[in-house]
Amino acid sequence: MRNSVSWLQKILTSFLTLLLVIPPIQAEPLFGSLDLAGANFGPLTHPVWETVAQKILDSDPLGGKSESELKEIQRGLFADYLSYLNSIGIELASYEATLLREGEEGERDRSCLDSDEVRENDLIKSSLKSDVHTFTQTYCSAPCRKMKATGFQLIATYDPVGSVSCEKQARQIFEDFNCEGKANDPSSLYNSFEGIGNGRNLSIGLGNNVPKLRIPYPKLPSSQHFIELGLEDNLQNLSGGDPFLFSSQPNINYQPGTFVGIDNPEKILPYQVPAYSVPENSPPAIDAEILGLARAKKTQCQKKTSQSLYTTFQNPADASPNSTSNLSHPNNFGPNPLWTTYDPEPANHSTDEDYFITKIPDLCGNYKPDHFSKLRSKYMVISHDAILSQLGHWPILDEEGKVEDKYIVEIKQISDALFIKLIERLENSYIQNCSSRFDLDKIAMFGEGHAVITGAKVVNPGKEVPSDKKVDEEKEKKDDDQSKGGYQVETVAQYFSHSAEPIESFVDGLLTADRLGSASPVEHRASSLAAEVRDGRLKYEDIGAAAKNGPYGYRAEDIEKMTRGYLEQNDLAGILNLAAEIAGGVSGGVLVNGGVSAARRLGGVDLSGVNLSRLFLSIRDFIRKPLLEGVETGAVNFWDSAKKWNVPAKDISRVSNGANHIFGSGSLAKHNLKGFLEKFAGDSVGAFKSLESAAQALADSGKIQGVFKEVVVTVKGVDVTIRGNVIDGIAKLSTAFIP
Amino acid sequence: MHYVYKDDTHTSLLLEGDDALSFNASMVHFSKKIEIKKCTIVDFDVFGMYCLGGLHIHDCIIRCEVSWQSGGHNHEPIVIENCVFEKFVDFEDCTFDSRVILRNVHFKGGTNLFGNQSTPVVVIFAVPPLLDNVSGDINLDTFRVNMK
Repeated sequence: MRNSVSWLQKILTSFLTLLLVIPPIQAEPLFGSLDLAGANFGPLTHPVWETVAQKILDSDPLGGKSESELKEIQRGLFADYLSYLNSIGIELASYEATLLREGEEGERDRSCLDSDEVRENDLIKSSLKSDVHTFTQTYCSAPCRKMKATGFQLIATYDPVGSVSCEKQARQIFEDFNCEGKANDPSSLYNSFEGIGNGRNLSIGLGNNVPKLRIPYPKLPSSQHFIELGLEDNLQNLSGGDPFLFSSQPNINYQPGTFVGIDNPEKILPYQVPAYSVPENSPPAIDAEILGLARAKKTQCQKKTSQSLYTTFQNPADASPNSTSNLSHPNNFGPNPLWTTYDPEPANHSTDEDYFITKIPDLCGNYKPDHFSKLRSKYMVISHDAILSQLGHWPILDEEGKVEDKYIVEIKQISDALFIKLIERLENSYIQNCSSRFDLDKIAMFGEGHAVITGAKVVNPGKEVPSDKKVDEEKEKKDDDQSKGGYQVETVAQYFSHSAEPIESFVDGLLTADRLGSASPVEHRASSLAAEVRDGRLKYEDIGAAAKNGPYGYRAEDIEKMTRGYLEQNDLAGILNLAAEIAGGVSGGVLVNGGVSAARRLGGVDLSGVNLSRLFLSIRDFIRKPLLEGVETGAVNFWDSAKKWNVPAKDISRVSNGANHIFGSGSLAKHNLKGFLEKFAGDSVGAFKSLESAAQALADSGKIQGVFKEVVVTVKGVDVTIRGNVIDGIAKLSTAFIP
Repeated sequence: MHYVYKDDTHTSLLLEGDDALSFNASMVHFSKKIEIKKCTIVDFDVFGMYCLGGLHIHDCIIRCEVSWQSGGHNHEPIVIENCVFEKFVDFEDCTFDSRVILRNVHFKGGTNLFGNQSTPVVVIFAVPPLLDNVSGDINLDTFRVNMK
């Protein structure tokens, strides 16, 4: 962790130094004079993250030129670079979606097909994990979403506040989704659900699942009936202040429920209450989904905030000077109870096949002749802009405030190798899969004998006008192809967005983050290994080796090295295979043996397992989050400790869970056992077993039997109250604390 | 029927329609979902019971006192609905790692589910619980009483 801070400080120092020497007026047109399209600065020997890292280290006035520090800086810069690549991919895919929409004909110009929306929504979801700029661009420029959102706003006249700009809404969504940095800010607990939907509009974010918002009559025993925080203002607005339509919630000590988000709310209430439902005209489906994701993430952040508050209240001495909240305990949630009323359900997949087989729509007809040349041009623009937006904090500006040419070349060398090759691949795919149809559809448009230029290649000599019979045959073939899922035309989006679900579980597992529960990732990892031992899937003696792997048998570090290696070698095929292996090799959270073959088995031009965005972002997050090392070493430590304390294999799960219950990160402060645990050098298994041994001694001497409570034992000079149960002569510890 | 569990179990469990259910699972860590429905429970020994796979109790009358201390740790939701607990229910030191939903539940003898604030045995809710039509005293402070 200290290393991370160190390299970040170094980058910042370098950046600030450069800013000092750059007149502000020169800082904007950073790329004005450089024509990169034809630039050729010769081969590079080091990837840009290495040369910039060396520069940072060399410019450090405090010295510190150790090899390990250099590597650490390189890793940090590499994480930035992955963001850069991902940002380009998402924006390029978004642009391509617009191009394809423009290429549609007739009625389709005025409507969005399901396949269009699926493609578009995947992109938006991917961009949500990128950066605010990329997300805002993608979200607000998505043609199908834009069209539906416009229609919806025209109808939605009930909004008491008025519309909010798409950019503002996008920023709010992005901030909510990426709220991790604010998780320790208690004030965020009171700002919940403001800004998006709830503060101004009852329906946005709930889509077709809009619940009926029910308001109790004033004289009901209303301590049992509650409404969602943040809705009061809306309800007051809607009711026009009518006391019979709206009554304020009584101030209560706890937070019993809500009617929202519970199945069959009618069953709950013996009363007939007035209900408000929003109009049937719902906003774009992606809005509901994306807001659901943002809310769920924000809820997690609030949960963490609540836990941090909990710690604060349990240890007044540790409370920060700013903790002047009037909360008595987080479980009370103060005078304004917080309610989480919308938990998005994960997408339903009826079969495993649904995970992998994505029906690719028939896109051939949507391509205009200059499609790929436009894509290349757009790539040049995006890749330039993204240098500043993604890598602007690197010390790569010259004294005139422009990005130094050599760095532009270095930065773009790798991105060019990835994207130019990718576009070329897409073009080949188009030629291969659409050329016969292209003949039929376009010849009439361009005339016999005309060459049609797509990108930079002649793809259709157009020398033959097909006979009627041939046209019929081709149409039959086309119909047949479409019935099988359409032409297999590749798009940038298919490499950067779709089929996110299979890899999500892998990424979550890889980072072992954002899990429910108060236990730390280390503790969860240990528990999962315990389960494997218990179920016979893992030998006890292999625990140490298994703990070093990620949950699915991978080491995140290995994936990082492979990603880096393929990029350094400009190996597009390698990076695609790796993405396919990670995504395609994971089915339902379980690694399929031979991930690559699993992906390839799906046959032909299979893109379902490839998701470069997820690969880039997961490795970026892995590098930036200092969690995994703790998980691995923590798990190893746990098992070493289990061996040390002679915990039998069949008892590992119970001891693991019990130690977590008493000494886990969510309960250690509550139990006042921090000092006690320190006497075991943080070894929770040792502390647990010592207390349980003390209980066993009491059981052996007949002093306790059955359920025991409020028994005080002295271990390592500390008086600890223990509870548990003696079953068949065996004392089992349930909890321990110091009152 | 009398059910006694002494070891951790890894199969899901459904108990239904028993009008004199006795359930002993103290210190047992259930990894799969437990469902108890349409039962009259006369003995419910769940001291230190973990419900990792979730718990669903519905349409039941629980005639006995319940001591569910230092348990929970559900990775899946715990749902209790349409139930009457005739005697006191003790949740001291429980930790609920996932959602808890109480709906149409009457704690006739009260419970300390939301009591014992600022004590080492306060119940931890990692996810805010949802309660609907819950009656009875659910804020009882029992810890200090016990410690005296």
